[in-house]
Amino acid sequence: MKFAILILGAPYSSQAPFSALEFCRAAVANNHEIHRVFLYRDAVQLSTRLATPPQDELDIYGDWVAFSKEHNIEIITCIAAAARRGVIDESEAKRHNRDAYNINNSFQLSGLGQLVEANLIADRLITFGA
Amino acid sequence: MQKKSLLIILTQGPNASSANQEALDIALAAASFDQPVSLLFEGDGVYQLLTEQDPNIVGRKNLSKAMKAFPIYGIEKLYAFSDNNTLLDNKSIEAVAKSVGEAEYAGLIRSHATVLRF
Repeated sequence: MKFAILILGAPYSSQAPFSALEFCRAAVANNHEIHRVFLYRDAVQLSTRLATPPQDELDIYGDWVAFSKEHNIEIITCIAAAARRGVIDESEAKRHNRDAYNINNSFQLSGLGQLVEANLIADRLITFGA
Repeated sequence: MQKKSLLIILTQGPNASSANQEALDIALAAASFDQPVSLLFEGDGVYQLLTEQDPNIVGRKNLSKAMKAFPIYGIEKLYAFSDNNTLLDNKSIEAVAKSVGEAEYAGLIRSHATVLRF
């Protein structure tokens, strides 16, 4: 089966990114396909490359990056939701005249159209709320 | 373009969080891609349908304006599910949303290909 994943809850504050990762690991292990992961609302914070959790705690940011690299899974971060929450890439930093950007390059900023399209292509869209 | 019906359920009251604004943004995005979109306002979410609101005083965007544009986007199916009959009798809610009971609520979930809950 082909899955699209929508994550809404923030990393650390909520369990959503962890539950979604566990789901995706199980799906891939059972030969299902993850078509796309879409980060919306507070879940956009998963795409920062500046998060540094303590060493004896889970690094959900690093775990998601490793998973997407290992299985070549596309992760889209909603550009509007991210800009509102201080997660931007280099071109957004230039466009809004900011002196830094913080997105991890495993994530790609794009619009809600990517969520709509993912829903059309996937057999199921699974939401992980806060 | 391929079509897949989308039901968005809004369960949270207006202005306490960005939930309703970001849920409606998905509705508008899906509708602009010609997807059939229905909205179900549930519980505190029904308060979002009251028109006499001034969210700007608490630093929130007024969603009534976006909701007035729904017919232009082809979003015409609005439903309200609540046990608060006084609220459901409010004229501004009656004017835009159809009040549904439990059976119709279940039917809406069954009849849509995708359901998103906020």
